[in-house]
Amino acid sequence: MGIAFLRTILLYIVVVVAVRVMGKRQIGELQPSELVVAILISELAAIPMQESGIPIANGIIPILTLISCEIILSAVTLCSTKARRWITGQPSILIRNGVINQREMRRLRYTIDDLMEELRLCGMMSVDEVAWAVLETNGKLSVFPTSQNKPVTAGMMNLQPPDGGLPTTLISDGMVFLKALQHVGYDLIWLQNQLKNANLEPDKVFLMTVDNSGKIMMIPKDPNRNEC
Amino acid sequence: MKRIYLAIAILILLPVLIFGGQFYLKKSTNDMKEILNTAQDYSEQKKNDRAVGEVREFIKQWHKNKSIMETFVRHSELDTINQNSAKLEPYLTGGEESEFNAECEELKVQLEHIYNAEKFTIDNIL
Repeated sequence: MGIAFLRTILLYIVVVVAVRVMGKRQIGELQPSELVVAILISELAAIPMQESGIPIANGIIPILTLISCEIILSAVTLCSTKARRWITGQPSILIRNGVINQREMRRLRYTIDDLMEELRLCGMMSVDEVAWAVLETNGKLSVFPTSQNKPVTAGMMNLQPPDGGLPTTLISDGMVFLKALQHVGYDLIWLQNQLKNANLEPDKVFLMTVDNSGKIMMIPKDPNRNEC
Repeated sequence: MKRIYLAIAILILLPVLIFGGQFYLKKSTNDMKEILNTAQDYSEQKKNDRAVGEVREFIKQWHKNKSIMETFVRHSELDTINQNSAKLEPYLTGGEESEFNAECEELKVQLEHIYNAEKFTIDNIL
């Protein structure tokens, strides 16, 4: 039992490192080869975890090999368009100006039910509302409405709303990020003044952000929550 | 870029380690089979003391090699040799020469099997 416990911890570390090395993508955005590798890694790690009679190298070596092959394949697809097309495929246009490409759907084994489901999930009630529907290489359907069905934007109304940009987190769960503070052009004195105005100490702040326009958002910690 | 170099290094290092393991298996199993052959020769010549000495040398070598083999060979295969090697000395000291020879032959086959099971052959790959 102790062996299974230790092996589990060891293999868990190996799998976490392996997945970290693979890069930052959610499951739904993985390319087919990446998804295969992710599934294989979990299977490969599980077997030595349960069977103490199998050397742990029988789990670690295949995982390392898979990760290495995946990294090299990613590098090859990055450098070569041909290789990328061959390995990950190409996006396919399923709807063009409200007209469904039935031939392409048959080739991809993509049913009309799948298509309508994806359109509904994108907020499209009908095919003729769609200008373009592209089936991406990761299996997701990108849907672009016709100009008549696009939501109104500030540009269409000739409006110039202020652009705050991406808010920068200055304090997270009581911890001050000094680099972030410097990055947005402020200092500790400014921060302390802002906190003083809100009657807060840094360790009592759950989240504090500031955007490009100087707009501050501050959320104090819940006094009833359990601390780590 | 660092990850690509790391991946290439892993894909180079792993085969080197694997071939090293293969070489080690071949040498260690051959050495142990030789010891068993010598023990059998001594037993045939009725030099039981020397045969016992060789058996003890075999068990010593086996324990030394086993600790390394455990990192890349299935433990159940090593356990079989463990169990069989324990019978050698009692057979010798009990005067059971035929059982001793049979056990030696079985051990040699098992050692050969351990090496063959890890070899790069079409049978093993498929």
